[in-house]
Amino acid sequence: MTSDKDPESDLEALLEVRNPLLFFLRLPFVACDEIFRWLVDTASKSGARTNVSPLRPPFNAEYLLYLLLRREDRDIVIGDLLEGYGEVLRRFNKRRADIWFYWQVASSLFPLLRRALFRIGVLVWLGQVLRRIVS
Amino acid sequence: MKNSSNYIGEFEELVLLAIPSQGENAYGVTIRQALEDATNRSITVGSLYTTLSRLEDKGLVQSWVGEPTAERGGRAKKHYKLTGAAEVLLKEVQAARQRLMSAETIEGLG
Repeated sequence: MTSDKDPESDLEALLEVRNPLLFFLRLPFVACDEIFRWLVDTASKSGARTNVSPLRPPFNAEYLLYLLLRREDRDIVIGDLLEGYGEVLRRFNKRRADIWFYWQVASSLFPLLRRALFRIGVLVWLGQVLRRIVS
Repeated sequence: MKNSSNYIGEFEELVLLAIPSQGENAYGVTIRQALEDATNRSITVGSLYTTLSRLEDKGLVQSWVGEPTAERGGRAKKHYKLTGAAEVLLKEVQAARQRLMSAETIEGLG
């Protein structure tokens, strides 16, 4: 906001006062200008919202990783995948980036499941050993 | 390698070799990229992290968590570096390979 008045707008205001027809002729243009500004503002506001979290991978794929990864590895692994996801998103589009993310998670399932099953197996074996010792 | 606890598999050895090649910037994405470039095969995130966590359990790799970055959706990187034990182990593996790959062995391959 500046306090200095624009001489051109002063002149336009003076002309409008002297000629009311000019004011009415300008109305549609002023309305269009206001609508355009409102659209730009709305778009920039929604853009600002998406900048807070621009990377939104598929929810189900991310949830699968949450199930299979250790708590301390979750954010690290998802962060690594998000780097690739962001690149695919920039080069292609959201749908292809989602497919890429699903593919990465699907191809990682086997080693992650194997580790999870191994841990469960060790726990079951320890439980059986403890039960034998107690009985 | 007389000590069986020092045994490492082929993929573990590759991961150990990829870490120092990335210097200070050795984290999941760069290690994976280095492995894919060197081996011409696709490396999954799951297999890389299970291997890294196994190497960490064996005391061959040290890790620390870096700063979160925007390109990772505000998530931090986990950086890796080799321990002294890993450096010794890699030298032992290299020496064993050289002993096995003697001139006679190569000639025997035809």
